[in-house]
Amino acid sequence: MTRTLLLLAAGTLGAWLSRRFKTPGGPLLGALLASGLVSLSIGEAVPLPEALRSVALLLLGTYTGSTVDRDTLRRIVSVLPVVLLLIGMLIAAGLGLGLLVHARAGEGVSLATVLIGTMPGGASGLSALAFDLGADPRLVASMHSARMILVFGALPLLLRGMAGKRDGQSS
Amino acid sequence: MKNALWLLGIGVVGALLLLWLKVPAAWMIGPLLAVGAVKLARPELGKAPAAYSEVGKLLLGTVIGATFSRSMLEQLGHLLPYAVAATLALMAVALVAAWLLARWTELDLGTALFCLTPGGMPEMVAMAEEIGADLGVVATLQFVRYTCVVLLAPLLIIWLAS
Repeated sequence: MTRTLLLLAAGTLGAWLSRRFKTPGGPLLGALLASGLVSLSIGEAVPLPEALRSVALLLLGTYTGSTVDRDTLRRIVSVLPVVLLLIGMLIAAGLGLGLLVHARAGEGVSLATVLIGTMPGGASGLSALAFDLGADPRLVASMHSARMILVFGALPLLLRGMAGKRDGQSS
Repeated sequence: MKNALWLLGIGVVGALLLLWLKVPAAWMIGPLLAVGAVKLARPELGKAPAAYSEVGKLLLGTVIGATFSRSMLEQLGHLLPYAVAATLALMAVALVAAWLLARWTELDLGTALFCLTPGGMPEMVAMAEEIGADLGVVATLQFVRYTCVVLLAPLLIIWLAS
């Protein structure tokens, strides 16, 4: 309970700071970094009540749903074929990278574990299947967590770069 | 204020319906579909208050941060540098894919990047709002990505790993 409140306080502070200083990535990243730092300094991960995640998704889902109009639907339908093709490319890249990693560093680790670990997403769904596919579920989960941390770290830098370019063009 | 509560109520109904149907990520997909459908029929309901998205981002960020631990990274052991390299390579591929998507369709590069980056659907939606991307498009295409991976990956892995 105390830990939950401590992490929530840290997350709130991080979110507030991100708005105050207009950091790229916004409150999600601000709260994530602050609560991540507290969690790392406590030592062990403190899983928060599942209800907090559900409330977060409910609010984000409701907000996102309320931005939908006819234009949204038209856009989704028009880009879908291209998106499916590109997702195929991402999955192929994930498989290729998995084969490469397993060839270089695969001692003691099954190919299925590495292949699930390098998939572009689907962490929650695939972790449930890991065991059935002959993979190590804990290792798969760790690989996907490492991926998420890297994405959260790298995306704001990319965005900042893109924003800089856009400002440069407009001025 | 009244509309804001209505939207939230519709979101809860959508979430419960999809939980009952055992759809993954029901708490996000349910409200998205239910509120989206109602908004298409009744556009005058307007947009949900910004506080919804701000509090949602704050809570989601805190929950993710709380899963960080040293043992998670230690567990990767000698695989850690390879996992990092593979992720960076995958992000580079996603960047190329986003560039192609922006080139071939009407989407701008920022929206395209959030549609294809493998970083979790709610997480990418929460960050996409910061650059003013079309959230409905990002959320839907992220769900398509998730579904494709979860459906195709097991088949491909059985084929390659056996």
